[in-house]
Amino acid sequence: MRFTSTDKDMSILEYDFMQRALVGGILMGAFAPVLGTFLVLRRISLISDTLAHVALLGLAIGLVTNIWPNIVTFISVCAAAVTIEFMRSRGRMPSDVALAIVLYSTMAGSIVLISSTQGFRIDLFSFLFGSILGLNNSDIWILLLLAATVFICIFIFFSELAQTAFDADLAKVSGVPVGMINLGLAVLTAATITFSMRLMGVLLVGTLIVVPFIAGQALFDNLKGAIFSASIIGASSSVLGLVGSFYFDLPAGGAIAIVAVCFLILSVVYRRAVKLLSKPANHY
Amino acid sequence: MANLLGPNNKLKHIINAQNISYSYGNETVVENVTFKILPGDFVALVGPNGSGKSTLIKLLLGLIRPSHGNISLFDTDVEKFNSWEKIGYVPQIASGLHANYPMTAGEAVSLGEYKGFDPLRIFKKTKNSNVENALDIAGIPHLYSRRVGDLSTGQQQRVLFAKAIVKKPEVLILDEAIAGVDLHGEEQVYSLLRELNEQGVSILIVSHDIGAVIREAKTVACINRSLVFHGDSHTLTKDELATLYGYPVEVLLHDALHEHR
Repeated sequence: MRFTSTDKDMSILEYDFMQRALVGGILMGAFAPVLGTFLVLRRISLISDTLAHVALLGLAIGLVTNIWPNIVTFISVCAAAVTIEFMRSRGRMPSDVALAIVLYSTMAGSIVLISSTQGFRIDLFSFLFGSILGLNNSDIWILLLLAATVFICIFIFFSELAQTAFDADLAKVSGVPVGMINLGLAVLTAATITFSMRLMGVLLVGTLIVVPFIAGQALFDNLKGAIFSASIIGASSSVLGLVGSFYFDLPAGGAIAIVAVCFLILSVVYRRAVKLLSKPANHY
Repeated sequence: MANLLGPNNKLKHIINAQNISYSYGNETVVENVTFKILPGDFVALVGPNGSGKSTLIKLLLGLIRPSHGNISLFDTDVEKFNSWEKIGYVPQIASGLHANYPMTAGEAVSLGEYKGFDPLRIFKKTKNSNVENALDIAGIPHLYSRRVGDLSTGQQQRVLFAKAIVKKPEVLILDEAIAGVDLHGEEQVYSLLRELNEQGVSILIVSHDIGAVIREAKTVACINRSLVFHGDSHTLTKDELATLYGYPVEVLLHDALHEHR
């Protein structure tokens, strides 16, 4: 979605849709990377991309059957997340293989379903590329609820999540219920993908989940610092991306993603510079 | 070092595995093994590559289920066991030790203090004397604020060692956990293991350094799919080692740094 030249004659905050977009963007930018932390650390970053494609299939099924698309989408994404986690944790196959199988099979299902059915292509288009400028008040409330749920869950289970991400076997021997933690993370990821797709679209929703934390882990040596900075980077990416899209006539989702990637590049350059300028490590 | 604990006189077995077997598909990797660790034991588990040592450790810790047999930890069935603070486990490597993982050595060691669900744990101060003490014992107090992924393999293994001892376990299980540690560090670790054992901590160590483990351990268990020897470390003969490895093995026990044996 883009702005028209008439829109720009007014201040960016004078528009209701812009206010909602900024609030939604800041919310998602703040909470999605916190969740993404534990996906990146467990080396399953691409699960967000895979689940977004599953969401597309769920949405298509919901629209074809005319049964609450959001609910059908959430159930589909949950089922896929739990299946991937099951295949991964039981060592049935490597993570990337499990993700690829789910991604391609659901993408194929989506294409077949969309091609053989008429009448909802416009809705699917907005879900593919996002429609952050089209958020309504209900969307904001859902995002607020989701953000609160993610923050509370991550805060309460921080130690368990950190232990599991550090090493699953060590976590089990420490008494952490690894299976339950992984299951909870899968459901939380599914909920985030389902209800955040509206902002960034299927193709870019993973950007705000994954990229800010990768930038944050380049800035800080400790986990809490990396998570906090990722949250700030995510929210800043949303704001700068939206402002950029307003003044330079760019697609909002794409602009947000590009800003996030710029933060990542700057973070990596900063880390390299700090390493080059500091003394060599004293190994013995 | 402060006394970590006293022996529990009522306890019969730290670990008790009876006739356990485990297979990967059609291949049996652990066959009919009966294995016990009593309070105060210092046991070395040796065997060639692929002999089932690490699989046996995973079985004993309940990380995988045996296809046959029973395992108990601290006289409780491993499936029902929940006193994990009594067990310190040091693997050779942990998946979270890669370069990008944003975790300091202090944070990693503080993970070892986990004693069950605490919803307010994130708000509690992580730097504490227990963590500093554990890093000090492991010989790496200066690495408290260093990112674990930036450390050498030997330093990372010491971090894992500190993580295991920070909770003051009653048994310490080391699975080839000092393979990357240098000679000085190895001597430090063995010295610490001796000290812990004298204080009542039971030790189970898996190592390829036959000379060192025979010298340090009270008993040795030799495994090559099944248990081929389990007894006093000094009674292990060259012939038994040759049978275990499939070729003659010469063990050098002389070490100028050691005076205890």
